[in-house]
Amino acid sequence: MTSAERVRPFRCEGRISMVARSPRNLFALIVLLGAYATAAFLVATRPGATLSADERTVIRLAHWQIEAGPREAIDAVIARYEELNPAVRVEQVTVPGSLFKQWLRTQLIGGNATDIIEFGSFWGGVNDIPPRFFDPITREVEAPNHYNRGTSLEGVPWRDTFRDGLNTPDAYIENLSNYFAVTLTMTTMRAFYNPELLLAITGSAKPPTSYREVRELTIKLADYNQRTGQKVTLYAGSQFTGETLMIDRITTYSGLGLSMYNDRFREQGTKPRDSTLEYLRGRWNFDHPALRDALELAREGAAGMRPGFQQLGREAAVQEFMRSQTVMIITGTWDATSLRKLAPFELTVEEFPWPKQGDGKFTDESWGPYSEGAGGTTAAFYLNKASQHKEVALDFMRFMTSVEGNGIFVEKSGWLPSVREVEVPDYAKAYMPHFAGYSARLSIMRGYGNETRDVWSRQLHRLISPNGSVDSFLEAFRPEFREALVRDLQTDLRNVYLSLRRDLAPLTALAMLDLLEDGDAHRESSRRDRESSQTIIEAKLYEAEFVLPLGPAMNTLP
Amino acid sequence: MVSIYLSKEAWIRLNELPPPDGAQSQRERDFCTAVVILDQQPLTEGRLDDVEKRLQGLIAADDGDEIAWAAQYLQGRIWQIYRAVPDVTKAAGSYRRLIARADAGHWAGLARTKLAVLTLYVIPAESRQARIEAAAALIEGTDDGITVRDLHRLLAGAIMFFNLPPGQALEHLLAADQFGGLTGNQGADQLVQIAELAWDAEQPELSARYYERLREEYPRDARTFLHDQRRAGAAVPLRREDLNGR
Repeated sequence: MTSAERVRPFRCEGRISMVARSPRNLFALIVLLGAYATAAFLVATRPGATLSADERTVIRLAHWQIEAGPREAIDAVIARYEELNPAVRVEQVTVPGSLFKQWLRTQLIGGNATDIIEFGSFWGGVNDIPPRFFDPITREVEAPNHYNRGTSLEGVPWRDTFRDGLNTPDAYIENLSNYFAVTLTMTTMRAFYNPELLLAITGSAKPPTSYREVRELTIKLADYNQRTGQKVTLYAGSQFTGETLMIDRITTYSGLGLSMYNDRFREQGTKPRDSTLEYLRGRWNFDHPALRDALELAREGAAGMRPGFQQLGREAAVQEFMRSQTVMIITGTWDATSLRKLAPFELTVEEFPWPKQGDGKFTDESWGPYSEGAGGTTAAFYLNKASQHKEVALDFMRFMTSVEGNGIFVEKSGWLPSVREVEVPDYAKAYMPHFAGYSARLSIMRGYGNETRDVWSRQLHRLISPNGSVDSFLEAFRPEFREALVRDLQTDLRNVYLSLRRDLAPLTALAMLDLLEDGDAHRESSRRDRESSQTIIEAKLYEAEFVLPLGPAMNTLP
Repeated sequence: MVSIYLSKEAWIRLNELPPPDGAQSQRERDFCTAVVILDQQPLTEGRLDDVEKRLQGLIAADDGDEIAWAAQYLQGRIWQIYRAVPDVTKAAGSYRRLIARADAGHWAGLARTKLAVLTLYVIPAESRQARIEAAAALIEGTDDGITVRDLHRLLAGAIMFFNLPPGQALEHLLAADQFGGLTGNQGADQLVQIAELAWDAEQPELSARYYERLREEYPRDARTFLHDQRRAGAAVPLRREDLNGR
């Protein structure tokens, strides 16, 4: 017998006797056992479990939309679905976005994941999840959604009932050649105004309709602050709303002219890698008038936020707005319902009037208006491959994205619909994407990669601090930018190589399958599209490798 | 399983299979093993040597079948994109051998486009124009529509990359468009490229025709705005003069 084995009974007895001696500990033990028994009872008797008297089929759905609106809306969708399908019970599981990725992987590997799962490839490092854990739904989305019977979408393939035809990377996964998800909503970026403050500052509750008017508002705001002794800001400030959304957007839009100027491949603007190559060829730099103006405008925008906004979280900006300490908050429409519910005033929502030519100084190179596209849909829901009730889960997905189901979601959440023919409520019409305009294809700040993004973040204070300037920013930024850009390009190229390698075996396998199993025309056509696309990607890879060692010498090649 | 990226599972299943019961079965097993190993991580140089050895065995025992051609193609891909130090001369040689086989079908088509890429950007050449001409020569000798289309697309891209007269690029993209078949972003991008190249080549009617196609076939693409602005006589952002823009 080891010394540990000899000691164990003694220590155990000691604990029990100690518990017995203390009534308080005894009470705690009883409460603990009681709680355990209650939990065990609830788990064993919950609908769908072994001892449950509820014989309905139970399916569960997990998502991270914990903002005000979506949870209640999905509850309402579920209630209506259960009314139509009394033999089914649907449970909603919400997990905060910051934990969702880790939580989901654990659940999937443990075999405990819900039947329907919200998922986004934008998380990064999750490309293995769809093929491993989700079922493709291509066949299903090609057929009509029976919940659309009696509507104008009756008989229309499910896929075509979505505003974007499910043409989004999260619904159709290109390298798997299949549809995997259906989407629930659309989002855009909007300025949410405090009309009471606007009225107090300008004498009118009407938001500015041009950037020139935003500048006039800035002057009136300074005067208002001086008169009242307040420190109201123009924009709610935080790292997210200030830097990620506003400054990034200003530099992107103001850099649009430069992007068109360097449009070597005639696509109406340069993509990030092409822009990098033009930089290395010596075709542009940050002294270009469009970029100097963009930096001046970014500095102007930052001056409208409270000092130190870069250190603040997104919730600090929301609080600033709620406390009427700022005229507006620029954020995504995913925050709209929360803002509407929490704001102690009736807020006004408009598209922010970004700088355009004719709006005064630094706007000569600002080519507007800017298009927000035709509205891609988002919040993609997938079918768990391990679901015990796939048909029921699919049926709920159909209802959730039918005219009726999506209509309920829109009405209760205040979010935009993903499904055509679902009416957009009057108050949400301002969230709809603005289509006509120039398409910005490149974010000068965030588009190239982590290395250049890091240089921006470290040096931005030289531009936006009260003592900063465009020149002092560029003096520090210029020497670091080129090296960072090259590192970003090298990372990008490594990723292209990995992607080419990753696709070779699957494409070879598919080609062999197509030769052996005649008949799946869709699969064969999809494979050939992917092979074509891979060839073009490969050509772009070698373009970069061609320019890297030569730089400006590219311009004098024989 | 490999076709849907479940290569670990495929590797396990492959190892659980009973031994092959004949030469052809062994040949198929060797090919599958090579493809599955190619998809395992970490893919070390040692593993690549193993794959190459298997492929070379399949090529050497050339039965004039899909396996031999696919093995030849994979051999080229390993030299081109898998090895820590790529050997494009060997890769190009592998593709050329495949192209020389009249019966290599799909694999020869793929080899043709891969060789075109290497010719345009990697294999040494006297001049930019020489690269274009050498790659253009690969169009001859194939009647596979998708291969021809992709060769035209590659040539157009390289002409723009090397800043050669845009009229040449326009001709290639119009030829690619004749075959069609592109969808999504690739399809929309090609229509915009043709429209913009036509504008640079002072063919505004052709440019307008392609923008109208963009509007009709890709109604969610906002790039028709530039065309509308031009038609309305409004100022629009310009391309650099040295890119032959106006």
